[in-house]
Amino acid sequence: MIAAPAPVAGPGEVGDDVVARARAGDTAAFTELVRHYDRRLRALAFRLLGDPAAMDDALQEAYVKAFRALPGFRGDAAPGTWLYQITYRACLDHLRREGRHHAGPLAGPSGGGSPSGGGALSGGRAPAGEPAATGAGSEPAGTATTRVDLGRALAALPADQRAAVVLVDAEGLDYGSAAAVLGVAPGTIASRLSRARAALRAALAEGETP
Amino acid sequence: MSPDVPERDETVGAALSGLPVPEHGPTFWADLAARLPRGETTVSQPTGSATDAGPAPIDAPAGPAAPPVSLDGQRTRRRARRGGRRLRHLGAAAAAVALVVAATGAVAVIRGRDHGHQVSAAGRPTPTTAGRPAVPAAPAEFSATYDGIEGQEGPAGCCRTWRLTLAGDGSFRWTSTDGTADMAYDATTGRHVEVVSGGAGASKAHPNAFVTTGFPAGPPDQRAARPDPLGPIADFVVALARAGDPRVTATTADVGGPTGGPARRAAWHYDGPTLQDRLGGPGAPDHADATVDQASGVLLSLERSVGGRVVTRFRASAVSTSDRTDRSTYRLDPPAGARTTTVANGFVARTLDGAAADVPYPLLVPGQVPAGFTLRSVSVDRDVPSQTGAEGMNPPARQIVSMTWRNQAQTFTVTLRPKGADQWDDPFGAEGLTPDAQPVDLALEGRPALEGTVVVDAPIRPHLWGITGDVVVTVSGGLGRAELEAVARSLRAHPAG
Repeated sequence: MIAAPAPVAGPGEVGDDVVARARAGDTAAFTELVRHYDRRLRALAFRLLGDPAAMDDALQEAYVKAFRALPGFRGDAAPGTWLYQITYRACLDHLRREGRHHAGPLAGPSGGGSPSGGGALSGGRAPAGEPAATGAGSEPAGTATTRVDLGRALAALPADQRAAVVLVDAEGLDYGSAAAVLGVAPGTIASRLSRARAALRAALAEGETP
Repeated sequence: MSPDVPERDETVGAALSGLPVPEHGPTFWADLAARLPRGETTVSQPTGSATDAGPAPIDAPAGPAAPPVSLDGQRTRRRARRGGRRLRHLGAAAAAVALVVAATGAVAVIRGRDHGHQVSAAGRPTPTTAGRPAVPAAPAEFSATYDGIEGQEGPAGCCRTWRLTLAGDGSFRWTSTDGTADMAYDATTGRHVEVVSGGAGASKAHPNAFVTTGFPAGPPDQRAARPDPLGPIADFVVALARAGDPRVTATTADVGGPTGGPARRAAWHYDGPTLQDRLGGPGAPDHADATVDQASGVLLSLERSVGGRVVTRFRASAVSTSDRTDRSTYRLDPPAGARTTTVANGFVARTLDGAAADVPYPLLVPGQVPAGFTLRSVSVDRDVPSQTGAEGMNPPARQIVSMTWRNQAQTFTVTLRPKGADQWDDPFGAEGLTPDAQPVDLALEGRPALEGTVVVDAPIRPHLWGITGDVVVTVSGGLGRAELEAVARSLRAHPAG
């Protein structure tokens, strides 16, 4: 069985005092807690759901569940890992309810969609202050194309592979933590990563081809 | 979220990190604040970057705080919802069964969905001569090369080539011919080793090995990967073949021999629908064309498609068999310098008497098994919690007994685990798959009835699971529905228990 990842309070983790106050029911501390991890959780949810509105719905559910569950949070896992678990399950619930996996066509001026319909994973609602996913004016010519190809390849992956590659390669979790989040053995994470990386590397190579 | 990320593929990771992540909608934080239980504190918007700025702080009205609900509580509620549905389902099924029994008497004959079988209510399988093919002799060792395993097409090429070697006791070796991946399972020791990258040209991004000890002979407690050609759809095809189901036909597969020449193998062929993984969306395959080697039970080919479009396809070649087993094939050690993660699966080989002494519930052993099957493995997990079911939502269980029977290459596994006070769902449940689960309510000798469901639905391993008193039971393998039910119905307390 997978051992619970050891609590980590490194630079990426929120302080114990914030967690303690949040556990005591301090909603301001709770908000600080989830805001600390929010970008990473948004990344996971958006890569899984492919739609900003769905991402928001899933994270609303996840954060409300997290708040209710905080008094029972034993600290066996780092808070971030724990929040990843809740978010992942909220996303799976969302996918089940919707009976779907892939998102709609690409947003943005050079959209074009993808056969799998998952192109929105590379774009969607652009963050304020960030260039749009596609067609960004100041980017090198190949960058946007590469993003589209990568986004399509990511969208075409099964959800379990997609989650594994997002958690490990994009978000930097180690295999043990990713395994704990997804509820599988570390070896399974490795297998999923192997396949996901093969597909994504192929997409990257395609995007870099003149 | 450790800052130490040695297992990360930097190239892929950098590219993924370059993909934008959308901000929340403008009302996200306000909506969240409104949904949080209203208590003694206020929800304030944290300070942050301009792009993180949300709505103004909200003063939460005073009011009684909602009682906190633990994560376990959430899980319990969720399982209760599932269980409630299941139990209502089972209740209706039980009522229906009671009516049938009342109408036909205690020696009613139950005809399963499987063709060519009838099973008496007393649990003795009575195979007809038509329908059940003879179990072919298994080679001591079966080997084949596979192309198309990854199934991802792209300009950088498709797939690595893999070599599978399978021993008669279920041990296997699964090696990519480019030296980047290797996996071995030794059934005699219960040791499973997977080397993600190794050998010449190994990626520095994942020089990892995984050693799993105490790996049981059968699911659902095998917490490590298995080769694709040993996938559960092979068990499904074998189950239909045993049941004489017309959806499976006997055929001769023309596969390449060890020297590249033709080789013909007696096989079973299934070409039909499969469950679509809803997590895979409309592009997920819903059809399979599978060919299974009769002698080894291994998939010789598998093509999965949706709407006529092939999604994945792999095929065996260079097939060879041997009448001797080279045990060294199934022993794999992590290469020097590999970062090795060791996982204790927890199962230890025992005798039936030993298993009966290990667990706090009666050791239930089938009194009847299909002809030709003999008990080959008994193991107990006393200490390491095993979580099963979709999302691993079943209660973590210890004191699990796993028993596997084998007839040549055909196997089935019976597992027992304590029920505890919590709700259970199908231990073989998988995200996104909703199989045709038929309720069963089986009378057991000297035990509460076994209530549960039976699933014979591709691509899931055929199985029956249920609860009898304080024990959760699974029966799974290449058996048809009638055989699964017959085995389950014949469960008796082992005398030493």
